[in-house]
Amino acid sequence: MPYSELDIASFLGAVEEGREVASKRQARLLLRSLRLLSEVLRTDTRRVSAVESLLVPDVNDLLGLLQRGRESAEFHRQYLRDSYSAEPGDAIRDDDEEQPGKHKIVFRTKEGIETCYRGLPVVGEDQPPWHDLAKGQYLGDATTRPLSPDDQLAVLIDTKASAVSRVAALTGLRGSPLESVAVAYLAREIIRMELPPEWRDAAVFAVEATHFPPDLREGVGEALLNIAYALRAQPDGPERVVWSALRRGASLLPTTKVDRLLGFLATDGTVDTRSVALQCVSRMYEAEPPSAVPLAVADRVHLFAERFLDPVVFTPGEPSVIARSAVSALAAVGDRRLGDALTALHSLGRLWLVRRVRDELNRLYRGWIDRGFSLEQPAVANLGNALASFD
Amino acid sequence: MPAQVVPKAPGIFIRRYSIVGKYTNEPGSRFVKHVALIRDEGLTSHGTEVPVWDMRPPLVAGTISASRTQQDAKCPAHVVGWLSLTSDDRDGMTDWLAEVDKQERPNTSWGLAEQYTVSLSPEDQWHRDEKGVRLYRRFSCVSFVLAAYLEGAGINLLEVSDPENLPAVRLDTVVRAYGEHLRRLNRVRAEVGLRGPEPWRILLAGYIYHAMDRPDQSIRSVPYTVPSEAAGNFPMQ
Repeated sequence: MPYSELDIASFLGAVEEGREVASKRQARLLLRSLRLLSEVLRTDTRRVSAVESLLVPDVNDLLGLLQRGRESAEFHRQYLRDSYSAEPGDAIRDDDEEQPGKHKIVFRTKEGIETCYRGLPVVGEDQPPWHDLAKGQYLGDATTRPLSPDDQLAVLIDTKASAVSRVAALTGLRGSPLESVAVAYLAREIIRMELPPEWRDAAVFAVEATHFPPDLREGVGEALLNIAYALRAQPDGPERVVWSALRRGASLLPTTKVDRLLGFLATDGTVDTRSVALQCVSRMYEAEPPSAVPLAVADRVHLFAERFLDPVVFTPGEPSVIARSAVSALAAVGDRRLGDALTALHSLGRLWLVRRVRDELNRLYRGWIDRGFSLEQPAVANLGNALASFD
Repeated sequence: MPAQVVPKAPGIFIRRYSIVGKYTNEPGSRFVKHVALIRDEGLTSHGTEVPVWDMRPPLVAGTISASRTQQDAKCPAHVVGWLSLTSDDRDGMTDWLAEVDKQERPNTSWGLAEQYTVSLSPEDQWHRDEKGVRLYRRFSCVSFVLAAYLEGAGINLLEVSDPENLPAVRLDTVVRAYGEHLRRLNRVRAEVGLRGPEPWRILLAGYIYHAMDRPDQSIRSVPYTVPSEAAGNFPMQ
């Protein structure tokens, strides 16, 4: 059947039925070619010879392409339906069999070009980027074609690869012979300033899930707090990235650096870091009570306890989280004003608040005792006395 | 009776922090697949999607995680459980949710294992740093709801102090809750805390409704001991 007899309307119908960018795009390309050929034949007799020399597509090829487009539409529609983050784009799969591990998919999205790798649990038919256990959906097979550690490391350090691919590669390297290399690379990356935002955010979350050798901890911790501090000042600061960086940054720093948290105990910035920072103060001392009270931090923490346990201010929700986190932090830094804070807490008459603070203080106390610290250690003794007020 | 199948229209009035559940899609199913905390009180009929706080994943425990995940977390109301919560109970749960809300992790395939677990081991329920200090929590949909009640309101719904006393759950049952893919994907099973061969001592969502199908005083004073895996269905039939 010559192209001129093709029913363009049926193409459009097939495209509309597909309702998918991939099939639309393919069909539009075909239609554009057909219309060009038709137009040229009708209006430009001087180019007829040239047109005749063009490869006129066979109808079976055209229909085959359309069928493939519809299958593609079916495939992608499932992702688009199930994932809030999925968006249509164009992709080219580069199957270079001569270079195993270099099988990559180059996506062109509205953010630019991203490179993903086949075999990783983030892209492609094998590994969709979305799980929904509530729906019982897992749209792929996680056991297919795993990359070797060398290949995964290549993906991790590929700055053109998507952030999710790079973090998936890092995850895949856990427990492998190259894990320490990957961890060191992640540490260098997070310390490096001016990371692209997508990779920076993914790397922050990855750092929170990664354990570091002692020699890397402080550098990574400082870098994370720098990131958190910079992001919390941005007009649209990514809250969960800030909180993750703050939690992990504090956990990687020695207790002698607890003053670094003072900046996060202020109200400036677009991201409220107060309750998370107060929890960080407590947790910095969970493993070891302070030998001396860090006064600057203790004074700020006491201010929070005093203010947020005020009956006029106290409200369930974020204010109450700040209030009880401040009480826990006072206990953790060994401050003697803990007793006053507990008196204020009891006077609020909120049974749930008393229970939660008592449980948290008991956990801290038991942890110190279990780690072998003496009952006479000043912070341990201070907390032990305070706990007696709950009897 | 504080637990029941949600009736068809006009439905019933459900209060905030009641526990709403969704059945599997199998015809006539009474197997509870997912549970969540009701976000706003209101009139609800069978199958109506209601706004919730839940762990699917992602974790959506408050307005912050809801806005970051760009998802309005909803759950079809097939079954509901409640008890007369005091203002003290509700305030405690509001406080608990505000704290957990800040621990939401990205819901990518690599993030899944970081925040979702069916394991009842304390070691699996928190991600800890090099010194063993807590960083962020891990939940299943059931453990999220149980923790909100236990830590927030001080109400212990289920007896889980020794997971070995829980009924053993077979793979066929797990597959009903999570989907067929779990049958063949050992790695994914391990990621969500199903380690080793079946059966596993884990919580099924339906257990919560048997716990709540008791007088308020019993719910508050005695955690429910699950008799068998069949309690994954509510009613048990």
